[in-house]
Amino acid sequence: MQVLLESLSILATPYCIAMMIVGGLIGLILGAIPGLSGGLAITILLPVTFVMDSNVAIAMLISIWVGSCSGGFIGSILLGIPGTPSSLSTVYDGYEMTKKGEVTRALSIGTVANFFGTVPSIIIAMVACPVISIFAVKMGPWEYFALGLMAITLVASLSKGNMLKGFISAGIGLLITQVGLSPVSSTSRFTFDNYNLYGGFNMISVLTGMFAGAMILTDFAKGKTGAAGSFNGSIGKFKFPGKEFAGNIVNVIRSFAIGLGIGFLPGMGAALSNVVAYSLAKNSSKHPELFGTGCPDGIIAPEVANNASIGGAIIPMIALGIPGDGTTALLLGGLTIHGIEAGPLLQKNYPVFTDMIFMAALFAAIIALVVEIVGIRAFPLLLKAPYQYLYPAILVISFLGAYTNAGNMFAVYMGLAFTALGIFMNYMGIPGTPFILGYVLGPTIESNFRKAVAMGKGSFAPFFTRPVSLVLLLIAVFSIVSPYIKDAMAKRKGNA
Amino acid sequence: MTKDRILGILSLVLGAAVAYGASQLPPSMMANDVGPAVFPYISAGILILCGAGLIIKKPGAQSEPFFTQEQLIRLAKIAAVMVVYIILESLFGFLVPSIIALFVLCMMFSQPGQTKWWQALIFAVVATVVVYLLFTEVFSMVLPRGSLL
Repeated sequence: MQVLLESLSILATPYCIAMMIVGGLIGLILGAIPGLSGGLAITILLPVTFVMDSNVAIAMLISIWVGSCSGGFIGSILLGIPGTPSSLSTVYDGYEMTKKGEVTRALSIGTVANFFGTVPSIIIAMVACPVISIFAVKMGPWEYFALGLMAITLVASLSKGNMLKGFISAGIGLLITQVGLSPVSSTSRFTFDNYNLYGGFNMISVLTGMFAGAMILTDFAKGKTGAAGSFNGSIGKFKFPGKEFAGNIVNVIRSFAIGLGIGFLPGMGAALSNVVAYSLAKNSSKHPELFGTGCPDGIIAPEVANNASIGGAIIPMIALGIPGDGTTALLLGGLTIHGIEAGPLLQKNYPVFTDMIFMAALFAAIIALVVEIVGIRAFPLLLKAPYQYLYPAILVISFLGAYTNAGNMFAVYMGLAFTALGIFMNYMGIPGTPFILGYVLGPTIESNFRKAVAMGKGSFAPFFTRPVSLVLLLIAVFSIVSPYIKDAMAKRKGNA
Repeated sequence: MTKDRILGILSLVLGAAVAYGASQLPPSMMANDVGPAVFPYISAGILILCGAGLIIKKPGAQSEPFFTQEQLIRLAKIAAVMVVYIILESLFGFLVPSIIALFVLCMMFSQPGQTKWWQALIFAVVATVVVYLLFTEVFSMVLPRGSLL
């Protein structure tokens, strides 16, 4: 309790609250605009947070993330176009309700469903993290290596369509981290005697190029930078959808559990949990025929699930230092830049700080709720975002961020180079998420691997004799071979 | 030659180059350390294996091209704007090149007839000045000064 109060007192300064509100709003807006994302919001604002005290900076980054998870349904409901993939399934019933003239009701349901997903999931994370940390502090470098490797292979092997490309992506991400001085022995690697590279690539250059530059340039080339559509109906005042939720208690709990569980597993997250929750809600409903015609259950399921994934993703991020998806990987990168290494030691040594992260997430959820209730009538404006001003401004500001972070133009040139790499990867159909996981986890798994071998007096055996490490490595191997096994089994079935 | 095969070859070549670079790294001076070359070898291994996999794999049905010819031209245009902007910024600092870049980008990003040239110009000037003041005055950060100024 003492710790909790202390963490609250850190956040409860006017400056910190103001920054959290700003962060939450920016996250909400960029999350709601189709084409832009919370990851982009974090990328742009990360350099700005360097001037802040690290508590405030982290609180702001967390607010951006939570806000961005909450705005996606607006596009789904008003236009039938999800603002983020996390609100994909919300389209089916949300947009139908809009067509039936029940747009206010649909938006009110989405707003409340988000809140019911976020808050309990964060509270669960808050309770679970210290417990997991108690076990996790017993983990040695062997387990950390295996855990990081598992996270990367899970994400790479889940890459849509092509696992080989997923691994190429992860391989490039790892390779990028090897430029500069190596961990443990401080050997200079792949620096080509350029002193700008001794410290490795600047993280902001990498993120700016891969996530802001490549995305915006590709969208421009494809002509996908205009307004996605427009909404011309009228929206009434927020009305608490008590009746809808009273009839959906089982649905809420089930969708919540799905969101939490999927969010916890690396490689998946809100983009998957909303789809799973929707289809389960439909299959177990007493009136499945109503789904897809504008049924409240069909908004509640995906919107509870996608936000419950926040708490699910926070657990491995804080307790183990393992990101679950691209956006949490960015967030973890942001923590690293601020000198914070997430993991069990963080929980043990700085309990006030980890509690502050949870409190900030809760506060951001409240900000999102209030903004969505008060601003419900302004939602259509978000979708009329003036793209012709937004995109140029984002480009200029994000490249400027690379400069202010590194203090030299070299970082800006590298930002351009990574933009080119990102466009090349888009062109070749190489997914970006394995790259970012490999990039964020690369230094951790390398230093743990080398420490582990050194601690084992040069022996690799402990990786396989320590049970936890062995299990994690087996999961990693299984995630790589299982698609092939499935293929082979399907072929045999086809032949029989 | 399909796109996947080309990617396979590129990946293979990159992997080989990384492996060569790794072989040139000095061994670690620390006892029982596996040395700085192991992880580069791992990256190289991933790239070589996956590259080879892509080359061997039966090419699937030719998918739609990712960029059409027209889209490639648009990509080249905006890439050129960004490159020129960054070069100008390194020579002349943040202010003037950013105004020019924002103006040009704004016109490029608007739908035909959506934004008048003077609107774009006002946006470019206001946005640049706001960003400049925000970064220098509020955040006290140093912005590019330009090597020629």
